[in-house]
Amino acid sequence: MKDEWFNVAYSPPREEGWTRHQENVAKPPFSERTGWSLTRKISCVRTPRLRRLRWASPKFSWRRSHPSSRGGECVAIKNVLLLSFALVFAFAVTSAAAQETKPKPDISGFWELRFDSKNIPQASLNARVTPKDIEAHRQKDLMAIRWCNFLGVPALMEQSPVDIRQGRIEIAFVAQPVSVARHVYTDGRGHVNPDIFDPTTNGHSIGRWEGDTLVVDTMGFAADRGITSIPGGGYKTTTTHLTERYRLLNGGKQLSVTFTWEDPNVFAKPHTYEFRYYRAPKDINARNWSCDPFDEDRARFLTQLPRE
Amino acid sequence: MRRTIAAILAFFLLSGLSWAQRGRSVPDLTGFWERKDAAGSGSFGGIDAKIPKAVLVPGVQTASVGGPQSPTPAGDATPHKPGDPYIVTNGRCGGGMPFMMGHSAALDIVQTSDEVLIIPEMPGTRHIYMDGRPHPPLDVLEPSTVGHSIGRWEGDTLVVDTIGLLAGGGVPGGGQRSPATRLVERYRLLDGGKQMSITFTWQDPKIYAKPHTYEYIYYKDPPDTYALEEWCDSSDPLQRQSIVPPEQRR
Repeated sequence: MKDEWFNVAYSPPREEGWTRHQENVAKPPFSERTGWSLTRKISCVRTPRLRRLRWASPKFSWRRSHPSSRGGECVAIKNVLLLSFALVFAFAVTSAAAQETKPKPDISGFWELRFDSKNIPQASLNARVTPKDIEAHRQKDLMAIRWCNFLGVPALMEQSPVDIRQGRIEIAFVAQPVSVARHVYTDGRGHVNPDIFDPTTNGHSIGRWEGDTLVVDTMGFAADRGITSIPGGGYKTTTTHLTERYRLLNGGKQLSVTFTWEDPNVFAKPHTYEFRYYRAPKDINARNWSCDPFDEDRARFLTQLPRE
Repeated sequence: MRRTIAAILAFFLLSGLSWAQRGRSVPDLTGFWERKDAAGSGSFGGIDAKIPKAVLVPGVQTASVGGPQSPTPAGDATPHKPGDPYIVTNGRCGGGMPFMMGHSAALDIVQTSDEVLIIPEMPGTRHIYMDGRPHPPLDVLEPSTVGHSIGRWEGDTLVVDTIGLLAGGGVPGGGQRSPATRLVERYRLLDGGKQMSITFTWQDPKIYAKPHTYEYIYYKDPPDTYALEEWCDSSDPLQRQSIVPPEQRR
């Protein structure tokens, strides 16, 4: 059953017994694919253009500078290439060093929400969204909590604390309740082709820095998994798009996150709200909350009206 | 002229190399890592069979490899009686230790100076604190599926020490765990960073007669790998299945 389940969960389908990246490994290297050549030689032939240049400047002679060289034009080409390479390399090193001297903000840490952390206006919903739709999502969310489903975004971002770790190629977000971690890729990649991406509770997120602000773009939400309601009104669908802007405040003691939700099927106009997280003490330990969907007392508490 | 250019190139090359070396005093485990089934069975049965059997203290019951969705341990050779139903999956979702480290789905490692995250495609991310903090005392530590982990670098090896795991079985090679059980893992890159070795050593004088050690090899996934989500819904009847073994023909 496990194998069948995996075949359903992974997209595209995999060969029997292969990991999902073994197909990539099996592809020929780029150098052997049609249209690519990494072994093309630079020929040292006398080109008419260089000959004309040398002829036009009789005072300048590569041959005089390099009496032992095989040919003036050939040496010229090589020298120009070498110098270009050196300049490009020097530019890369110095620009990288400049980047290093001006590091990006580091939002790593445990971040807490407090009583005054949320500013959530009412969402302006599309006229086609009915109260019945909203109620259906509320009931579904209740069942998601009752059955210990993965929370997903945005509910994951409403937990406290959230552990954010800014790594080399991605920023990870980990909450304490039952939920898979959130991955925000910051290595310059684009979104996965929606045709092959299996929607998830967190969606697919990519991030980039605009000055001191981290801008995160998310798509690929699952419409039927986890908690789908959005703070302020509305809910996630497979066409929902989220843009977040992360900015450190108050010397790094606070983290401002503005969430902007867009979905022509749900919102009449983009719905924006802001959370301000407070940095937790460094020595805090993450807790891993357990959740038992077969705890009948818990199930009754969540699904029945409280007794007076 | 050639010598000058060569000198310029050498200068920039050396300065570039020295710049690249800065901040890389420890190996970088960042990325997605997957176990591969070298035997080709697709179930890790071949490579898991090579894990040495744990030597347990007399009276401690052996528990084979199993996960949260496999109350009946996978690979358990104990025959089930005909007509006697047994549970295959009990509907409980989630991962945790040590199941997640042996799972076929990729593990994502996010490495920072203060903390290393090991993220599975299911709930139960491991937080490995690298800031020198000790474990909390056992009497105040709340046991969890991933326990409490602290790490340090010993040369090129990341040494991770974990306590506070929930009591249960599922230790490869047969064995149990309790909150007081200590798991020491040693992470080491191999083959120029294409592979990663983790040796697991379980120690608990109340469970193991001697430390129980085994090794997993993981393979680095391509840089553009992205995380999937191992969805599991306990309300789904398919997550709760039992089997009634039929009478066997003689």
